[in-house]
Amino acid sequence: MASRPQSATLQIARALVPLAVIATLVPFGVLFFELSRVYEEKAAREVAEELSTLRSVYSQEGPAGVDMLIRHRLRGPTRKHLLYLLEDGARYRVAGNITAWPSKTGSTFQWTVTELSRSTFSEPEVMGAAGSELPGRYRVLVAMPRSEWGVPTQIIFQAAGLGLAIALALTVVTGYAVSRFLQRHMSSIVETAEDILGGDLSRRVKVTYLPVEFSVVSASLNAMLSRIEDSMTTMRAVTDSIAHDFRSSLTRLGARLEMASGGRGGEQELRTAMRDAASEVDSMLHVLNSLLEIARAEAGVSGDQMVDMDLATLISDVGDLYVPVAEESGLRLNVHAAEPIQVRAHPELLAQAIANLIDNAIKYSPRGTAIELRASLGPLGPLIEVSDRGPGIPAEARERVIHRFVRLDAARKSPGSGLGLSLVAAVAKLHGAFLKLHDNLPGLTAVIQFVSKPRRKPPLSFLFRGARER
Amino acid sequence: MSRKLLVVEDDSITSSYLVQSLREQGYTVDIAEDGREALYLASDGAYDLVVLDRMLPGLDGLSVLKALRAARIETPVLLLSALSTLDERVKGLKAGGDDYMVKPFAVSELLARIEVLLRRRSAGPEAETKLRCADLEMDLIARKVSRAGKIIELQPREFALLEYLMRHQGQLVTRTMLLEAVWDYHFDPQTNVIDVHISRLRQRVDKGFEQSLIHTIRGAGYRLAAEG
Repeated sequence: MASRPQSATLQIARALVPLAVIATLVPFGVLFFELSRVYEEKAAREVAEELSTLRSVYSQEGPAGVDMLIRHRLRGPTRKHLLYLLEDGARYRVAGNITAWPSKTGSTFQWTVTELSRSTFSEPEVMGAAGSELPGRYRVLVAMPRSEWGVPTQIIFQAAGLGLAIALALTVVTGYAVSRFLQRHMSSIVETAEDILGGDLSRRVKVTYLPVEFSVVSASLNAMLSRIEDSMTTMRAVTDSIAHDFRSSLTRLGARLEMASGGRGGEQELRTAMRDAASEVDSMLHVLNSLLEIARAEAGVSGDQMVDMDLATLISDVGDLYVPVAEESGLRLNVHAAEPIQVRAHPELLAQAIANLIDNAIKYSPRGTAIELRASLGPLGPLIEVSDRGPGIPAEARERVIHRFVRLDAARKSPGSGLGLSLVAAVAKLHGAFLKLHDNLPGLTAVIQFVSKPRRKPPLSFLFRGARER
Repeated sequence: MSRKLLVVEDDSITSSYLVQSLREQGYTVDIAEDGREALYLASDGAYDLVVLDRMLPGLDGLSVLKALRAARIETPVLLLSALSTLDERVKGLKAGGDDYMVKPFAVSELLARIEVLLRRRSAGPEAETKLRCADLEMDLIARKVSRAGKIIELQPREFALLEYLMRHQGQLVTRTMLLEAVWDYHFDPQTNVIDVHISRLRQRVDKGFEQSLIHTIRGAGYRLAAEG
């Protein structure tokens, strides 16, 4: 895992580095420009003060006084960082260490940043300067080179470099920590997946309850795995059952055909044997068709086959089909559907599911009793009920009979494949509903319960079910 | 006059079984084993009916059907397929199929459906307002049924059931066909639902009359006819 060409650490670091650089340099940049502004203002103030000192010296002592003050300044310990230029009316330099008056300004000007040359250096420097015309066409200028303004450039650059180094180090550490964190939380999923690949379908992802995102992923995975395991188990059971059913049917069929072909019976007997064989084939076809129907209901149907429909209409239609059948068996079938109940459903599959429930009810009801078929709006949502007064199903067997091919011993003697309820359950599931069997005291009530908000968001308890079972 | 049928089926055992059963019924039958051959044979419109498998080598059944319909060949087509979902049925019927049967199937059912398709074609399109079988009369506009002048009261479903039988009188009609035509259900009820409805209908139509009109064909279905 660690030798992957693109480790999570590297990827996370790569994503974080530009962020860290920006986050560090922007504040230092802002600080630098703010400080520069403040220091420049201070320099401008100092230059303006010096200029006004020179003006007042000039007004009292004339050019000679200014010349002397400048010379004193250039020699002396105070204001050493200031530069001067005093020119006479003919624009000759009388005193100072600046070679020439700035070309772009007039004789009197406020603080201006420009390039000026010292008399000792040939290279011009960036300086801030201010100048003033003096009586008698003299003029004087005071300047301060930028290097003397006092902006703590070096400190700021050093601090920025240090900040950047710390930020980058933190980035790498964070990347590493995040990737370790991911790895630690993924490892259970990876291990589980590997075990499952190895053939152990019963393995589940360990659910840590924090952080929530991971527990949701783990729980969803577990739910998915449970579902897969369920369907694998069911499939195995179904395959076994089909094999068993078909094998016994085919054995009977073979025996009948053999007896018919080898027998000494007349044509009548032969015909009977053929007819028996044909009905055997019919019943096998019937089982096969039921299985296909269940498979098709379980596979789901495309959304455009689901329509908004009324349960009341549906049950009265199905009731209409079955009322005479019930009467024929000495039973009453009462259909209760007072008000329209809208659901989104597949009308044909739902009709078939109800038909299967009524079929069962008719099969197991004692003569003279009534079967109730009802559609109503319960607290959980719309529901369809079929109740009979037959022997019912013992509580412990109710869960089991929904599975394919399960037939209780009492029912073995009557015809049927044991697929009816599985189809009902599959159809219910397809509609985001569920099939529930209750005691009707006496008898059986089968309920197809629609849940108001079907599918998409199963309750959290369902999500965690797989995990808790481990 | 013998009817000419084309069976398109790539499985040789199924096709020879089909062909044999059809020939026994007096049809003239040709076989095509793949889609291209089927299209070639059917495109001159010489057949009275085509039994078309959907999954074929070369060109699949639905494409054959669409090509035929695009060429304005209106020969009735009965689709025969292992694709059994409602979706697939709808697709088949939308592509221009006249009927759809799902494999595995019973030959008696197939024969009955073929008969119905052939008969529908010869019946012609004229709108009927009255149906008659011996002394049984059905007025489709007044929605009244009478036998030998005596009014027979029927529930709406019973009326629909009898109407279907009368429209296909003399023909074998299977339980599945009735369930599809009258109730619009395509599933296979576990109990003999249709038998019960027919026996009720029989009570009303045949009881008290010397001649019975609704006949049970054992193991296959029913036939409405003046004579057995």
